[in-house]
Amino acid sequence: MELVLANLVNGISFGMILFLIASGLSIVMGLMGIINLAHGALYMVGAYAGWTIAVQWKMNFALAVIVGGIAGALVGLLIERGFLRRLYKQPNEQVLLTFGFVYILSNLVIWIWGGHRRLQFTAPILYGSMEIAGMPFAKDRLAIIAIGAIIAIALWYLQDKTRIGAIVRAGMDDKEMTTGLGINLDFIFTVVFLFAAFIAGCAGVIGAQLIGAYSWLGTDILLYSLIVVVVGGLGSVQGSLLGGLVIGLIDTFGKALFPQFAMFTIYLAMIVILLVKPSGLLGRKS
Amino acid sequence: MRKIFLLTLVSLILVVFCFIGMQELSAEKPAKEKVGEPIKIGALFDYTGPVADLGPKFEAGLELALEEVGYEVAGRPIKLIIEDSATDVTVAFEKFKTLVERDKINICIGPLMGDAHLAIAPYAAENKVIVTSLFNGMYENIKYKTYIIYPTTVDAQTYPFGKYCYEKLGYRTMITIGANYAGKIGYANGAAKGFADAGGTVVQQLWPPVGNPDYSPYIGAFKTADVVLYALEGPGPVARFIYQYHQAGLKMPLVTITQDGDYTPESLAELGDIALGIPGQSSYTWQLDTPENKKFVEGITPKIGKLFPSGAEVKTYTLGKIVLAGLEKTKGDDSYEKLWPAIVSLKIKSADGPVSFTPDGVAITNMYITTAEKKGDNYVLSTPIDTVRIDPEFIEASRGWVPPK
Repeated sequence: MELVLANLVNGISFGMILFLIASGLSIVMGLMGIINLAHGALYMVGAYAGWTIAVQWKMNFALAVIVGGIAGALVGLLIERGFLRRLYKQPNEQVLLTFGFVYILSNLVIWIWGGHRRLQFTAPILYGSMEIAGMPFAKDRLAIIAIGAIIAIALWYLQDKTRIGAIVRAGMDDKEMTTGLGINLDFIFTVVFLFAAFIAGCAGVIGAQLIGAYSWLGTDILLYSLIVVVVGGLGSVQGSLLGGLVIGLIDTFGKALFPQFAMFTIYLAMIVILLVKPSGLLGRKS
Repeated sequence: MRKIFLLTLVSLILVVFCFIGMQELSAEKPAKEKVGEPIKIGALFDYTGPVADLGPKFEAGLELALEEVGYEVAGRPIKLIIEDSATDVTVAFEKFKTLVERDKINICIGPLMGDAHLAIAPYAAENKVIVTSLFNGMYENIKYKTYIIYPTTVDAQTYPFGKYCYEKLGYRTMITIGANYAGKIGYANGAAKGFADAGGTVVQQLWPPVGNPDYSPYIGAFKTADVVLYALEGPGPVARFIYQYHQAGLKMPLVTITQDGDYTPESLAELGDIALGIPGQSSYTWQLDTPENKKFVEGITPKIGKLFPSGAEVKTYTLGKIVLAGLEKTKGDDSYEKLWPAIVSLKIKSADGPVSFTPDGVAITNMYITTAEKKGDNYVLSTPIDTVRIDPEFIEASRGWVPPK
């Protein structure tokens, strides 16, 4: 029973991190048709920026999350405005370009912060564990679940209940019609890309409570987030949330129960889900 | 047109960065103008991948050993050629081949990973190139007689520590968690064998993959035991595990192996109080009270800019000393036929203690029991709590571990 409860919390908290990073990736891919392989690197940049604020300068953790988001957004702005806007509807070039940025950002991080891996960090109030029903649970993981749930509700509200969300959904369904209605989709694309990069940067700091920061973090987390996008379905916050939770729980319980197959459990799950539902669990029908 | 120009510019920038990076990583160290053809010493250290922080440390230790003799031995200059093995077996093998075929080395220091040594060994034997291990000395490579297995085989390094956990620390049941590659499997199993031979029971063994970011699923799967022994691939994963174990709130005490390599000043500074008091096996501690160690610490600390050196710097320093002593004995002859028997006949005192060899090239060194302690505001590796000489019998006694079902 302890094994199940402990790993339920572990899996849901990890799933929330995956949701945060995959939600932005999914919306960008769904709306703009851009395969941004540098999205994981934006997460990494946010993690390092947050580390500087929270650990090196010993400032407030919430401030570190905001600064991490801003760092991700600034790098995202550079990538989108400077390069990606010239490569719309050219997926091969987008893949090459954004993968190149992964290497550039990884090496920049080594130059600035060194090759030494940064330990997990959290707010002082979240340090340690708390007992619930006689079992210890890590406070930072419980906080991640709460923060992830709040962000999920906020993103769902933004997507489904606001005008900007309606415009984004319309743009995903029919770009030409949306443009024909006088909506500046170019501007919307940039805003969405920036917002996704901001969320990725924030996720980097929130996720640093579990896995810290290191120079190839972008590649590691990108792989997970692509699987979440594929499993959850393109273009929806709900899909990213469900995909994140499914992958987080399968990965965690897979490692706990079948450690010898730890490398394969999430890929097996992805194959099974895609065989049953090729567009993903909650993918938008094109 | 503008698009083509931008893409060309970005591509050129990437090529320049790659070129600069390759030049840095395969830099030959300059030799002074000396008479005689240079002796080429190759080295494979990890500058990228999960243990990227160890590469510069290994490099610093080896450089110090060579600087102390002015990059010269027996009248011949020394040329050091370093490649990045990237914590990857395939890369390590390809880089080793490059060192042998392009650079014509006769001796190679490293790589780190035991799996890489298993891959390299047959090729090294075929080409009569002497290879030294860094931490992960693999028993399987003894038979080739081209290996300097230092500080000893992985199993033998930790076998006496397993006995220590039972006899001195009083534990009766143990869980081990080790990184899933040959080196750390050997370490964990050596300790498990020692623990079991002393009378203990290993109730569970877990093997997370190399580079695993999150240990919580494995921590969540722990059964109950008197102690948990962790054997992870480097300072970063070790620090991450200790932190996550502390956050999980479990009460089983921890012990560890290769503490001298994993408890670097950076990782201890980040871990703080939660690293204190965990007993571990080390093959070195910077607080050893010997003239050789004092000289080493004085020379290395300004070089690395840290409070104290870890096991990484001293490993390559000692290996450098061993190679230089062997070359002195052969009067500068670096051929396998002369250098191998010269090295295995050595008895030297280095910063990490006395070193001698079995006829098969396995080093006989000291094992120290250490822990992390706080000195003033700094977290450091302690003086030895206990010292055990690795008996050559341990090399065989530590083999043949049967895991629990």
